[in-house]
Amino acid sequence: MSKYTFKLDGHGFNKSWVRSFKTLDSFLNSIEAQSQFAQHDEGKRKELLTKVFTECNDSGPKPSTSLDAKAASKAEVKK
Amino acid sequence: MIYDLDNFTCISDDCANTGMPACTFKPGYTGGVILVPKGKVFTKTEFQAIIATFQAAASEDSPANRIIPIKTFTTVERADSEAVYETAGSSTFFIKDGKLGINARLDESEHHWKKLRKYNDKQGSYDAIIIDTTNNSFQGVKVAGGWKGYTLDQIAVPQPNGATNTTGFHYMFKIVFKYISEFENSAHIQLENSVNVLDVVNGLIDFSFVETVAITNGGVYKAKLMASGQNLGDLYATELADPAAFVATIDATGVAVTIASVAYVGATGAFTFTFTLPLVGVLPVGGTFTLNAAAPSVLAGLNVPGYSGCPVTLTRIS
Repeated sequence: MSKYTFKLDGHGFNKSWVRSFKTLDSFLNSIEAQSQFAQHDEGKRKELLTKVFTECNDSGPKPSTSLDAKAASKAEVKK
Repeated sequence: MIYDLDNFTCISDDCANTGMPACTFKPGYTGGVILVPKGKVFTKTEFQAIIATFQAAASEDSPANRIIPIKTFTTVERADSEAVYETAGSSTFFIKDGKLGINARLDESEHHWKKLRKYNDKQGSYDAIIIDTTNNSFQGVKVAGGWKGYTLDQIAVPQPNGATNTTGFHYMFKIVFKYISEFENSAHIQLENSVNVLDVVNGLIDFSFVETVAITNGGVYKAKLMASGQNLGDLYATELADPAAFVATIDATGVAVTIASVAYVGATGAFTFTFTLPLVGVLPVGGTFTLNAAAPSVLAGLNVPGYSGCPVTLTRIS
């Protein structure tokens, strides 16, 4: 599995695409998400999609903060 | 070591004494050839690990850099042209060499012939390495800086021989070598006996997107992935349910289309592709985009080695 992919229940999701949604609701309401997990009922589909959204946003490198950058800068000076 | 560059130590280009060294080499039965990109010279590092080198080259992402194994020949006939002589009085004088060639028969499928036909008349793009099954070796040419394939004057893959009531479908593959001088510098890479020279390198297997159906309501399509009659869903359902295994671009602009998800539906044996709907506003209804597999190296990284995709054109229907 690619590090850019999250897999669940036979579906492979593009993490970047999932992360492009700012909120869970906007993801759940997207026409692409609504076409997923068609074999399940509405409740199960929402549960699975929520897991997809949560996992994709929890995994992978996070953007560094300005504080991180300052700390890194100080460490570089100490060397 | 699984190689023995016997003739590399036998050749003395500038010398012409005829005592025989211990490592004399007599070419044996030709079981196939490997077409290599024209002018490609394998460096010492590459030919010292020839199996790994060939296996990597056969899966090269760029078709222009890829080697093409063609095998296994059922029979091989000589297709040499005559040397030229001139008669003066009662004497016959040699004028110039003819050319060496082989006319090989393949008893493979019609599908195989269709693939090979793509290389008809492509001698301008390829050199050829000979697969010698008698000596379990690869035969090429020693050149400055390494080892290369023989330069070709012709690659011919004529119409097949149709089946009769006594013979099955088969076809011929003919190559003519351009320079006799290259045979003066032939150099062989011999493999250990535990390795079969015919088995070490195979060509990529193409797969196609078939029974493609656009599902209404935006960018959702389904397709079976078939490789010569084999449904890849049966082999790689999990591995190929991965957006990273595919690429899509809008035909008119070349702009990439993001693949949001790929899922395998066992009941239908098909994969479902969901494309992001930036298609809307970017690609009008009726506009086309192309779906293909990612590069062979990417597929191999996803544990789907040895495959290459044949692109399919999809149309936005709503």
